[in-house]
Amino acid sequence: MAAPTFNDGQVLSAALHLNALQRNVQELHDEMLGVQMPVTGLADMDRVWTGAIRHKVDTLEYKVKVTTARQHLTLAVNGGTVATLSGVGVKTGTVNLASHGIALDAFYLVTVTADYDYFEVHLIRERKAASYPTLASFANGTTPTAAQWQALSTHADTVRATIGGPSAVGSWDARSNVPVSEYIWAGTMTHRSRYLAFGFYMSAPYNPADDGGPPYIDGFIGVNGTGVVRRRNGRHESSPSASYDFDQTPDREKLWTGVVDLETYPAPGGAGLAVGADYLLTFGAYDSTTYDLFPLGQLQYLYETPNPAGATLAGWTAWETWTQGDYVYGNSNPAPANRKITTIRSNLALLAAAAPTYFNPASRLVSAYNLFGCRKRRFLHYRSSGATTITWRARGQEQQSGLPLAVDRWLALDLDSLDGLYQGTAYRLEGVNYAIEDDVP
Amino acid sequence: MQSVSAQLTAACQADGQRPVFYVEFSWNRTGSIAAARGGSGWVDESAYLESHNGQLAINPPGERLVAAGQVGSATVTMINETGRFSWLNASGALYAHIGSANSPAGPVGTACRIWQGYVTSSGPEYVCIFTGVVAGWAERPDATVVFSLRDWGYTYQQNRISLPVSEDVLPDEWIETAALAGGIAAGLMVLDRGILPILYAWMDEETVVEEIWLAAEADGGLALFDQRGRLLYWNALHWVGLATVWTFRESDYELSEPETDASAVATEVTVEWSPRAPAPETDLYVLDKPRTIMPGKSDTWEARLDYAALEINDPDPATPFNDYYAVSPGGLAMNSAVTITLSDQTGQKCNITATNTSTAQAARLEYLRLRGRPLVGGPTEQAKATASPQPLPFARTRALRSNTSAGQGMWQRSAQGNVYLQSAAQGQALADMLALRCRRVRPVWTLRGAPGVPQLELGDRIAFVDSRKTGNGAALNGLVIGLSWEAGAAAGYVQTLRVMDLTDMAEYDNYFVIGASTLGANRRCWY
Repeated sequence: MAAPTFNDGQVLSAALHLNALQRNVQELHDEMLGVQMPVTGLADMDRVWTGAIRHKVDTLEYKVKVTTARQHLTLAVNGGTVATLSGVGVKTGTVNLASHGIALDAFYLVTVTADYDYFEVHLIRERKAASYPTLASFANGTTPTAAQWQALSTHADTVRATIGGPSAVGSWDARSNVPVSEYIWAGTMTHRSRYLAFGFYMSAPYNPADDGGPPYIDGFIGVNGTGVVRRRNGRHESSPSASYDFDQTPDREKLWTGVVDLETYPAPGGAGLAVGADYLLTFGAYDSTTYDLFPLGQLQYLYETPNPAGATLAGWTAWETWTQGDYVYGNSNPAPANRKITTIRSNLALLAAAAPTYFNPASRLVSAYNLFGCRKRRFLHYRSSGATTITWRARGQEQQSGLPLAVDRWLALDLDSLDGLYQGTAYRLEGVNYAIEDDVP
Repeated sequence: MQSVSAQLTAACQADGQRPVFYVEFSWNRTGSIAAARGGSGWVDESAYLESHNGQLAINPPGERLVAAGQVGSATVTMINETGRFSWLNASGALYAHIGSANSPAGPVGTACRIWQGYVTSSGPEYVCIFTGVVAGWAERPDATVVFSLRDWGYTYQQNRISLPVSEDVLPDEWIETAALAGGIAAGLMVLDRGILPILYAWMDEETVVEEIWLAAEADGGLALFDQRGRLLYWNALHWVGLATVWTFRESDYELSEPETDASAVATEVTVEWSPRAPAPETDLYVLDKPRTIMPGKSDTWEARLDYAALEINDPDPATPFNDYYAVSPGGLAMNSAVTITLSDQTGQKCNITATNTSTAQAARLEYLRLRGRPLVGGPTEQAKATASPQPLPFARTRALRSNTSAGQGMWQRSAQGNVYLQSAAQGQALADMLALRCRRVRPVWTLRGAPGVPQLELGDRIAFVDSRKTGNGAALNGLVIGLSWEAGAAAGYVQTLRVMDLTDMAEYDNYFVIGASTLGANRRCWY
């Protein structure tokens, strides 16, 4: 919901202006520190990565990793090459889409193709720097104009628009016999929440390990290349490193789920991630037995989830609500109740600092696996080549609904029409190739 | 109060006043009410005037908790010895305009303005005291015609319109939108800035004036048409800080006992509101029976929607939407030959045009639906506010059972049925404000036989004396809520005023105005 409107000559209302604006800013704060889905990249040997983007802004950002000297990566938009990358290392850059004739809200395809070898796509997304209005001081003794009052709401609406871009529904990977130098999945997360929720399945080899002992498989979730979660199926490990969250099972197969505190792992003290900062998120599973067909690591989901006890941006000031008859203080209130306009102003500034850039991630093409999402927006845009279903849990029961089908055509589903699929509710899509949530139908 | 010269002000206060009268009609219906006296399209009929009287009023808190506007009325008696105003007189001078042959309703609908004034030191000076239309007439045996007039708002009362959904709109903005759509010129509106925004507003064959009244009530305000035919909107704080514009001496009028309406007092006020919210996409309209479109032709009809629509999707015959299906009488699928277009969308209806581009075959539209995002209403909810301090002896609670007046249960009043009250904040703000206004008996004085002050208007703050209340003769201040008059050669020009006590219209007199007020311990929040 948009922030309240301040009209010149209008009497200032406690409920409909000040408290409404506070509520709006609080919701933004909570949304910002809420569920975050990663930009799904790639760590694979298929040599082609394909993603779809719903066009919003004209700057396309990429970050890919060339892994060998002989490798060339070709970046293309709707089939037209826009960049060719070579030389070992992480390559970043932007492409101006203005000349590509893509209409607002139209879907287009981005591909990254390698001529040789394993490569990584860390992110493909549109981006735009946010432009926040300058706010008046709102000091006592000043007379803000209606435009300056409205700038508070505009500021809030800009934060909402900046953090409210489309959200790509997560697409995941599975691989067997992964070399330790390669990942199964890689992507980029914009850090906003304290916990990382994960779910991955592992199946250990049948055959004895290369060292002759019992077989095992280790799964790692990494942040910027450092492990934060490690799980093991098979051979018992007696003294694992304490630098990551560790658990193990003697069972050969297991679906591992949980959350890891990013302020603790990697220990000690976590990864030191700042709110709003991007980090590389990876999943790898490495087994004990070189020549075995069965070891498998399958990522099912990864997303940031807020601290259940509540999260607060550093420097955030708690609200005090206004009632009829309260004086409208700016930066100083001598009364015991310390309600001031500058509280709104400073909290807005914190939100702006944590949301300097608008992002619009690509949804990666998947054909063999389910998509996993955690609802953030109202409309689900999807494209499929066969029958599709959406599955979620509501009031303790699994719910499933078939989705309207039109082969290879973008469709939109109003998620509000699905009973119990609220904001933050996890869901699974089957049979869908691309899926993007957006607040625009 | 209308602006007048110092000479007219002096003439109003002088002993031995010399009133002057002026009545004009726009027989050919081209006169603009914004025009000056005697302007184009207006005919001066003062020479035939015998007398006029009228009354204008705004409602004090009473039967309706939030006062609606009220239509003013006036009566003009014209000398008709020549048959000038007779609608059956084919030789009458006005027959071309009001004659039965040309105007089946006679003079009904003819605009009329009444001007009143005095001879001043600079000559006669007039003020418009009534602008309206003829609503009825009667020819009397004494060779006079009595025209019954209604104020200018009457002309819009039968005007029903439909408007699309507007979101987050201030009451004054919505009033202006409705008024413009209803034909009221922008220059004929004087609107206070609204306070409590309306989440969703639309109109579906609604009466313009009544919707304007409702929108005003939802803001705790008042809408009315003034003496000059202008639409006024006064918000809930219109009366805060008003200056006294006229002082009557005790000898100027005959003072009645102030009316006191105890039924307007309440210990608890309930305001009902009904939430409106966008709902998931759904079918807004389904064709009730097949329509056949001839080859190369179009068919247009009005679709009334099941809900108010925030958005209607263009019908798409392709899978998975399958919004329509057309077939030839011979069984050939005709979807590719039929196009459906929508036009004139308002809140709850739109026009559908089906065009058959085939020049060879008729197309029968078997099925059609319009999908979109509806606006749905929730169950009615209540916001309550308790008057503080309690207007004794009406205790708020029934817990005290006694045979004294204390403990006789709450006096509850409620405001219901306003479609523009859609949020808890809106309802609570209005309930709190009304609880304040209902916490005391609000006296209304009637000042009879006062010398006419033509520039006085409804809503003016005046001073007068009721020595029964103020033994020392100190002036009381009140708000003019009723203005009636009698004028003519025999009666002169006298007014009767109804004046309402202003106490507790608002808790404070220093509310914060956006863009004008300074931060600090200066100005306060409204509800």
